[in-house]
Amino acid sequence: MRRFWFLALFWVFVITNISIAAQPMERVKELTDAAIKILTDEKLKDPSKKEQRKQLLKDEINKVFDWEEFSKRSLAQHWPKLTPEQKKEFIELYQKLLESIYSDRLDEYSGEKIRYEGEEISGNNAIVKAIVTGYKGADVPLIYRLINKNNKWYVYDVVIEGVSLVNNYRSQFNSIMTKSGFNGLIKAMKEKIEGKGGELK
Amino acid sequence: MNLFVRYLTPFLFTLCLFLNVSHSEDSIIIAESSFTAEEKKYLEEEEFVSISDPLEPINRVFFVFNDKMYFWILRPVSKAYSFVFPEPLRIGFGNVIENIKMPVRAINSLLQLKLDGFVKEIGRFIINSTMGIGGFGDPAKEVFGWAPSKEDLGQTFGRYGIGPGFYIVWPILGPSNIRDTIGKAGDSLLNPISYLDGEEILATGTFEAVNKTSLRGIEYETLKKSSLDPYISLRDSYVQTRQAQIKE
Repeated sequence: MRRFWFLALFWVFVITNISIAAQPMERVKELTDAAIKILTDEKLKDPSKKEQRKQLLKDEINKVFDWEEFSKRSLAQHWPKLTPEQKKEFIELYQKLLESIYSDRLDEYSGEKIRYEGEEISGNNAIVKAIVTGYKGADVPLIYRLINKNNKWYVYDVVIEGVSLVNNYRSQFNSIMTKSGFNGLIKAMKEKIEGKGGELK
Repeated sequence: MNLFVRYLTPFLFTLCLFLNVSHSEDSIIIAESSFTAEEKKYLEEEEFVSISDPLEPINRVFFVFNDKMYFWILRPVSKAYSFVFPEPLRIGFGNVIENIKMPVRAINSLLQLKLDGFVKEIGRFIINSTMGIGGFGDPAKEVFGWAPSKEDLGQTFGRYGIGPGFYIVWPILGPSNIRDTIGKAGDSLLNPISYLDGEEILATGTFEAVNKTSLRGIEYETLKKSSLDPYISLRDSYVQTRQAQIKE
């Protein structure tokens, strides 16, 4: 009987441990590990597989990134003024834009190592610090900002070498919204996604 | 370079006084009333950093000029250059130049009372100049774990509470602000390269730009590719980067 209780207790312990949400750093690691696996996969190296590889990267990003959070924070004071439909449209476009930018950045990967420096949790917010070592002979500090939703951590901002993605877009969105309103912003985003506005000349 | 220091610095100082520099690092004001309580909490821990940009129309012209310089001249030249010199060599060349500029980082570490940074910079210079063969390698970091301190006079000013003034895009030199422009001029006094003669300074500067572009030019291209308004995106990146560096 004692043996039974011991075993029961053991399993309760195991199960509760499994159901506890992955900590912020683990969530970020999950994403980077999955991305590095895709990027170093010999079967996906062929140039004809570029689109497939990008799609796989986007799928991984979507598991961990919270696009609504990105949108709220990037539009800041303009967000509450939007109708639910406008919010939905904006989130979709912003997701497309960031997915493609972030997967492009990951695509530059050429064997750099990521060193995790630690995580800080404050209530429902957390930051994870990492350093990409040996990028063109330099070390690039990275900070992921995460939010806890339904016991799961989601990334809502990436800070590369001190430059927050959300802050950078916020200043751009603010400038466009002020000059040409929400419709102007949507138009500019659509053009960007289709590869028209501001591309390399 | 000394001419630049002698005449431009007093001019910019006067300009600063006129424009009341320290007050212009203002934050974007958030229309608080339009927020629900739930939405407000999303903004609490955010920082809204902005910079005044009264010269925006002129700055935009220089931004376009620099952009053309990049895509028409710097990029093609650096492509050809990378074709000849493999990446490890180019990283080494960049290290040599950074090693020569040691006094800038060391003195500014000292001015900011970062004694640890000052000592490491001196140590780095001794180790990398000898074991690292004229600064080509970076054994100081690889073996001893001493990273470069990356300090400059603009950061030193910022550390002591001097605001950035307004944003400036210099032709060729790129994004800056009043404070960092004065800082650059001051740093040139500490930079051994600026004591070469005019042509040599130009040659070194050009080489440095080409070498840097061959390694990290892709970042400017990514910024351009990913932004809706590249001018604003670069300006914000500059402001955020400098702020992060000053805070360090």
